[in-house]
Amino acid sequence: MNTVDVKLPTDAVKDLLLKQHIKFIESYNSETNHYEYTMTEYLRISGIYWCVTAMDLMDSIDKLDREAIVGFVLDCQMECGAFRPCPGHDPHIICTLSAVQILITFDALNKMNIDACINYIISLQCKDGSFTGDSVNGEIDTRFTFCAVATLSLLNRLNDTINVDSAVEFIHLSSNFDGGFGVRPGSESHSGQVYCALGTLALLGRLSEIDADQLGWWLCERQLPSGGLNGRPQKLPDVCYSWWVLASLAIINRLHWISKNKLVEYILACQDMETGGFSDRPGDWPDPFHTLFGLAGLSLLGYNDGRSLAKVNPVYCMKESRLEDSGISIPTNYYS
Amino acid sequence: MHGRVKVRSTAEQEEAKKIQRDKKLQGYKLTIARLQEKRVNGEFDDEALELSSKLLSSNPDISTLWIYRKEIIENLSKGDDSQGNLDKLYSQELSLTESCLRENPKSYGVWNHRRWLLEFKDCDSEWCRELDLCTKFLELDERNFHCWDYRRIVVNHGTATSREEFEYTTKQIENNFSNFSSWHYRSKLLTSIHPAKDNESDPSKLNSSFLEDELELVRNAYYTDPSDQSVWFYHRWLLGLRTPQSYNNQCEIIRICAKRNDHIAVSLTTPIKSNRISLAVNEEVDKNNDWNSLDTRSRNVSSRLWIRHLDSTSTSPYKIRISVLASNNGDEIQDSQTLDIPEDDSREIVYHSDGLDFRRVFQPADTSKQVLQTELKHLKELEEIEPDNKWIILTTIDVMRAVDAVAYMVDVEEKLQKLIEIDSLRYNYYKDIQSKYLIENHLLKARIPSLNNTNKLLDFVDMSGDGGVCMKEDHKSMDHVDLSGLGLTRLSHCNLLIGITHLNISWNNLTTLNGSRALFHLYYLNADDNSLIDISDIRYLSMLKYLSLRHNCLQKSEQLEPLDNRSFIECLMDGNEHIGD
Repeated sequence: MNTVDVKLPTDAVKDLLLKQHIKFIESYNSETNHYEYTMTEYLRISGIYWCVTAMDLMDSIDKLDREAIVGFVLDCQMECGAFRPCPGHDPHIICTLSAVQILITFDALNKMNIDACINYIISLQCKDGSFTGDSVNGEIDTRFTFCAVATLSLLNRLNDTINVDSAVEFIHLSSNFDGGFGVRPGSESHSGQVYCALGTLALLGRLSEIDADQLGWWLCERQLPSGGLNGRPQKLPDVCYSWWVLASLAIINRLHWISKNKLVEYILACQDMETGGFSDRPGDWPDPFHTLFGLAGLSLLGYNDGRSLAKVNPVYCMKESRLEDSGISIPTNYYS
Repeated sequence: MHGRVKVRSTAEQEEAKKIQRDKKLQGYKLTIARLQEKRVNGEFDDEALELSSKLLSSNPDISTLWIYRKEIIENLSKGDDSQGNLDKLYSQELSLTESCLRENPKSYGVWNHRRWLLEFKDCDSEWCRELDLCTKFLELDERNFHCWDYRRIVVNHGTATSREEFEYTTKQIENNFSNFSSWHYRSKLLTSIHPAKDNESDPSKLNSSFLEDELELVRNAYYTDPSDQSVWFYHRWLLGLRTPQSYNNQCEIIRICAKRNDHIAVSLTTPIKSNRISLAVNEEVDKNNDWNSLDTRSRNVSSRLWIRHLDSTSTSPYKIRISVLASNNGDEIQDSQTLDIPEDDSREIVYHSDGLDFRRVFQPADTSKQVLQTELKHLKELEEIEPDNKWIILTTIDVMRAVDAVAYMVDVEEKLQKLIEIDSLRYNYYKDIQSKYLIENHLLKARIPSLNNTNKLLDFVDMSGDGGVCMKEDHKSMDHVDLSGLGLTRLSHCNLLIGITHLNISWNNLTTLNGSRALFHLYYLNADDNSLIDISDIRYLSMLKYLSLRHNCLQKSEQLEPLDNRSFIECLMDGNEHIGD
């Protein structure tokens, strides 16, 4: 059986095309991209978070229209406290996290209704500790636990709000035979969910409760011969896993368990020389989602000794200095 | 956003594409505006269903439209509509979601909406058909986790027994090469079909004839395709080599250390919150929860290592009892250990209890040695056929260590070397695991009563000067640990070594002292001849007085910050050159 993988092209990009990526993000909401921009409005606020954070990691946030973006985000907050992706769409916990991340980046957190937001998040927690994504769909997912906990943590309100013990209990119930975590109890392990579980446990001071050597091994086995990382066994590599897997390893102090050089090679090969931006794998269309995670992955790996990109925080996926300036407690990523 | 290949197209093709897109864009904007208007006006009708159906068919991720449809369905089913109309409504919805799934089998929104619909209909017979739907979709993509999750919901509504699902996974495994999802599901079904004696999710406690049957299946799978990694993950778990650390497991006390009028420290097998630890002095419970965790130095966390202040002005002997309570609210005692503090003779002594047998800590699973030995035989055979298969070698190492870690020390070393050669991507993983095993071997050998105590006593200045901390004579050898010259890249198991006062980790490959902060009582540390760039844990070693960091890579001032404001009796730093990268 052959390993499911990609082959890096021989003429793969070998340098970080920083200027092109800045242009790529800048142009994303301009008229030339009106089609994409409109057709993805159902996730716009998250799209803005990807763009804003990518620019922040490239120390180019001044190139964005702060007023317009902050105005848009505030306009997305609803009476119930939650945020919607854009006007005319329903609110969701994922959009709420993105909103708070953007407002912190632009130092405009005090402009939103913090209390209403907190009440909304509390209302999403179920008896078994899990969180729904909104108040109508009834969908449960460990991603939503992470969004809830991360938002509360960024608002510095973890202590007197949700039921922490039951939230942690639900995470543990979603763990599997291989040490990984899935969408909900019974679900197969998936790197994205692993990241959400570890981020949640780190923020709640419960990281010691997992078997880090076992999970770290499962995570480092995501690295394929091409150097790229997949999301779970026998799947293709994807640049976004350079974030989910890498950040997970960083949170449990085992980043060195993958080959840094090979991964850097893969991530760089995913850049689009013509338009800038990163795609999931070499030769595909680029987009802001993969651009953020490609850059964040390179930052975590200390690409170019940290001279090209700002340091990213592995739990929040935001510029670390931004968090320090905002006085947000960065969880002690101590894990031995 | 995923898997969209960028294909070259001509200017003509570009132009045609642009016209098509503009048309689609206009259509979308008009339709969604109309829908938003209708919804605001509280219109729950066929037009809304029709328009939203058009948009969702081409993009099922517009979740707001699924919510609108839910509102419409709820609204129309409350009204006076005949059952016939309702049935039509439901079947339309089923048909829409099914066609959306064909286009986008991985859309969270569609699967969730279908689940919602079925639950809203609340009709048992409908769920059976859903099982067939799942089977169909899994034939198209055996790894679609959305579909597997939906299947589990369907099964929960009584449409199949665990045994039937178990048979289904057997078929899937036999017919597919990418079958990790099936093995995963199987791991959940296994113990519900054959409930184990006491611990539900621990496969090593399974009934032995069933375990043998399951192993037979697994062996067939790995003989048929030894490079199919899924079966190896499962195999490792099945043999109890990888029992997921359950935070609910019995928590036992490894060791208690105490210094009169100063502190008491506890090391545990499982991380818990501090409100589960009970301290009693002379059998009188101290209700204050003043514990701080030794590894994170905070309170509101779970940890295996806890420390607190111990106040006592008296000089008479007393007895400390530490108990672990079963749960945050319970009174049931899971484990208890005592430590007797003798009359104060004004020497500064750290006392500690004997501690748990390390074999219990390293190999908690109960898999029979016979089963493991049989596996070793099979693995050896297979390795002869496929000598460069890393999965075989990895599993062999795990099994050997489970059978007898010390006896197989040399074999395990050899195999780790082989892994490092054939799987260079994971070089650092293997080095860290090798370090862990070396330390475990050291601890196991030191604790086996029949072997001579192999801890080397350190050859240097007498530590028992005034104001210095010294050990009770008969404990001296246990508190001096020598891990020098082992090629260690990581300091594992420091939590088992709390109470030690002297540590020699010279001549290793450490880049960080990460982990050592648990060694609260460390008085002497020799870390010469490593590659240290991070010594931040030194900040926490407040009793450390002798420190040697010669021949490391500590050059930048920020690396040396942990040494600021410290008064060591001796601190040796010569030979710190920045050696390459």
